[in-house]
Amino acid sequence: MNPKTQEQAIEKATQQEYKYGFTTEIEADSAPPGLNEDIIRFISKKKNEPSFLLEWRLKCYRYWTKMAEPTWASVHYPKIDYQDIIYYSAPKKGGPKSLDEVDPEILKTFEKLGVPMQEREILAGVAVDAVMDSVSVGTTFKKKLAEMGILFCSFSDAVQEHPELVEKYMGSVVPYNDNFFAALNSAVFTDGSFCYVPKGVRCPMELSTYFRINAAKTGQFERTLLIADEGATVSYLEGCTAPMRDENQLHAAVVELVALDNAEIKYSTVQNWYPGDKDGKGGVYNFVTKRGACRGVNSKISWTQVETGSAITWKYPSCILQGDNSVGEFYSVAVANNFQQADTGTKMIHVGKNTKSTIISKGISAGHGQNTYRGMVRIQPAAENAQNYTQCDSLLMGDKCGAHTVPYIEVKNNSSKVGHEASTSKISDDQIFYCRQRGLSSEDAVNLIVNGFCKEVFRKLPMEFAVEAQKLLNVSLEGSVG
Amino acid sequence: MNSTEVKNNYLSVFSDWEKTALTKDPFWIRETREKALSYFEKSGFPSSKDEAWKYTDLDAFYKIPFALTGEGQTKAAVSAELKFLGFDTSKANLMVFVNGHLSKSLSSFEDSHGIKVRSLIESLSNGPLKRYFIEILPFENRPFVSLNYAYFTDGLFLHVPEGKQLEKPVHLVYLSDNSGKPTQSHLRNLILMEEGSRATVVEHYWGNNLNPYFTNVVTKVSLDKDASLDHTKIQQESELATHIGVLAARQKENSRLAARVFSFGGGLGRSEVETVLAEKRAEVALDGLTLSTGKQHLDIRTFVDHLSPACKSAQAFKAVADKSGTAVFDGQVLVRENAQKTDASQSNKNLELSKDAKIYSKPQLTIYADDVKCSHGSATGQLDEEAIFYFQSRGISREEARRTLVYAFAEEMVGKIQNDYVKGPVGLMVQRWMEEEIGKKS
Repeated sequence: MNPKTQEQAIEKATQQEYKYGFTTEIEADSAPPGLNEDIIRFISKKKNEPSFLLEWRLKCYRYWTKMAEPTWASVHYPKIDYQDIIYYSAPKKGGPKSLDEVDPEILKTFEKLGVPMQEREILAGVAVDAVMDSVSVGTTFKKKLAEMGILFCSFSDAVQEHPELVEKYMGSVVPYNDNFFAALNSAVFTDGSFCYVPKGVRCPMELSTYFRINAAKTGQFERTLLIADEGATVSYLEGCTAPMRDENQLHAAVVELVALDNAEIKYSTVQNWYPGDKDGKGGVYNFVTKRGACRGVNSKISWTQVETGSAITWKYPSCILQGDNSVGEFYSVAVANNFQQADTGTKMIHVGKNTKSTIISKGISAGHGQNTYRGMVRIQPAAENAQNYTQCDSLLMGDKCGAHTVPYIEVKNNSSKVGHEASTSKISDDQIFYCRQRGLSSEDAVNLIVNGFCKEVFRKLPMEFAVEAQKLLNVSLEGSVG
Repeated sequence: MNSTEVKNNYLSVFSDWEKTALTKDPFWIRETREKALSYFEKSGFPSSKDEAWKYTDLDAFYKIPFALTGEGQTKAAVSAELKFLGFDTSKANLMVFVNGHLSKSLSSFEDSHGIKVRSLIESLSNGPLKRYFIEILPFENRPFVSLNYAYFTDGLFLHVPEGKQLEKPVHLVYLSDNSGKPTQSHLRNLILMEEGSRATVVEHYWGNNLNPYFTNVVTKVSLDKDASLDHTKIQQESELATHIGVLAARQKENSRLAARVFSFGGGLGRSEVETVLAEKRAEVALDGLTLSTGKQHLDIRTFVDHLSPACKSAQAFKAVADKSGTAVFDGQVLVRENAQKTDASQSNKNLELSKDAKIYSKPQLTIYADDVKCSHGSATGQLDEEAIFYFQSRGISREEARRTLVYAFAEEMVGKIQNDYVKGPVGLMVQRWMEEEIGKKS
């Protein structure tokens, strides 16, 4: 392929505008910016929370004030002023009981995003718990799920309706003192999703939540808690977009998954927060703590993520494999284009016997993007016959980007098998030439090759997500290879 | 003692030690020593929170009051011992250091064809080596390197002029005499290879002392265009020893470095190898074998800095951990922006033989150029039960089968040695290790 076309292709792809960069004018009910115990009390009061939760928040806040922001990730950003963030912002006309009551502006926003909220989406079989800024605005399919005993609601509702479950499981996977951002989230989280699948129930549809940062200068701190009781199966989708803003927005979420005996959780994410413009201005800081605990025997947790957005991604969806024969999986595609920085990976902590984990990570770097895979595989002494397989591949497009692989492998049991492989390459001229020869445009050729590169991960996504992910990837990278 | 107390001790004894031990030092060396010490004062010892020391805990090291001593005597019958190990020392330039000082009576080496094989401390007093001495390895934030700068006593100075080939390999033997109390030695080697020159160097740390001792060594290598160095480090310290060593090289165009690390000894052993591929088409091959048993903690750390285009690096490290032994591999490849056409590979394979053994592996790639071929792999596992069964079904005992399989795993690294002077003895060491360690239990 001639270098000129390649260059043009790169140019074209890197200049692709962010499609979801509109803002919605809704009156917001906000707290003043800043963080102190009063703000936390304000949030807690606004949300009419039981006292245990306020106590917990304050404990987290006090601990957080003593913590230092982590610096070990290979990402660089100006210091965040935590006193300049609005920690509570809710659309004013809150509390809708059904879709008809939802602010039409909000519905329009979701429509633009393509979130299936209307009746026609029943066909798609998706129940959506949509989160706009901090408060859940509409939950569909709730009734249908309730018939099966599945609790799927916003975190706030869960606090009101099922405080015993919240108290039992919240913070049990990601303790409040786990890390800086988790502690911050624990102190100020405003909403999120909650799901409990009772014993032996197989959730009949893909559950989905959709986050969107809207109000300017708002930090989004949501919390997701998903519990699959014995023998339950659930698949959960999470999608994110954020409007275009010049200043950097902070998103520090916590996701906790609990799988009991024979339970299975599949958690898929397509993350498309605003990545900043082509000069690296603006964009979302995505500092997320996601962790799942396979507590029971034969339980399984599978993380699939497609990370195309955010100026900075700092995210390590992990599995603690406590139960014997439990299985942890991590499939990831991470894209860093323009000035995006992604430091992402996983932790697989093998505690139980015969535990298995698989890690497949595909990193794509283009423009000035920096992409780091950072993953840990730890085999504890009691984890007899544990097995891990890790594969990390990086694809470089352009000579200004970087791809880094930082695996930590710790084996403390001699009956285990751990393997790690990684490679770094660029799309070879031969591959492009081969496709061109068969009549494909250079751009299509690149798409074809990139999609092939990511196929192993896309295959793990639920159908509707796989299509979206593929499209997103093409949008963020179109032709940026040569 | 804790790390702060040990640190303060190093800071306070310096002036006395300097007055007595360093009277012959030229001014600039004294200056460097003091500067290094002030860096050490700032950095202090590393803790497990330092990424570079994440898997290596120094608590045991801090507990022992190692003394700075003068020249020592060794009771070891050095030449007989070396013969037992399989070395034919008549074919080498042998330099024996005891407690960090050159023992002339035990050594036999000479300059030839303009090639200088000398004691470093004597060469520093005579020649303008300042430039080489300071560059290549900065000591900022490297506590043990700055300690070495401050307290080094002697080591090898090898200078091979343009186009010359050193015929006899240099065999450096480092011993510690500590019949009375725990001692320490800080050694420094400097190897300068001019254009098109060739040499072979063996660094050999060895002891079966009954008292703890501490060896801290820094070897610096400068390779000019087309120069080639074959370097083997054999770490066979006593199991009571703490060994910390760094080999730092800087390579110019088309130069070639082959560096191997065999870590068999030491209670706490850490060997770092790092090279900067500063000009195009430079090549480096780093290999190593770690055999860790008992309560040994053996740590290997590599860093290859691809600064220029079309350079090649290959790393292959293997480790066997038995009983409560620990093996650590922390390797890094950095490919800088303009280092296009880089070919870098990194492989780490580990065999874990017992329940209490621990393996830590951290192979890292940091890549800023796109037209590169980089890969790494790490695998940790245990012996194949089916293979053992196969042996047993043919009348070979389980112990013998295990020994054979472990040897087969380890032997690959011996096979990579090009130089016959080292190959035989290292092969023998590996074989003896298998006989002594494997098969004691099933």
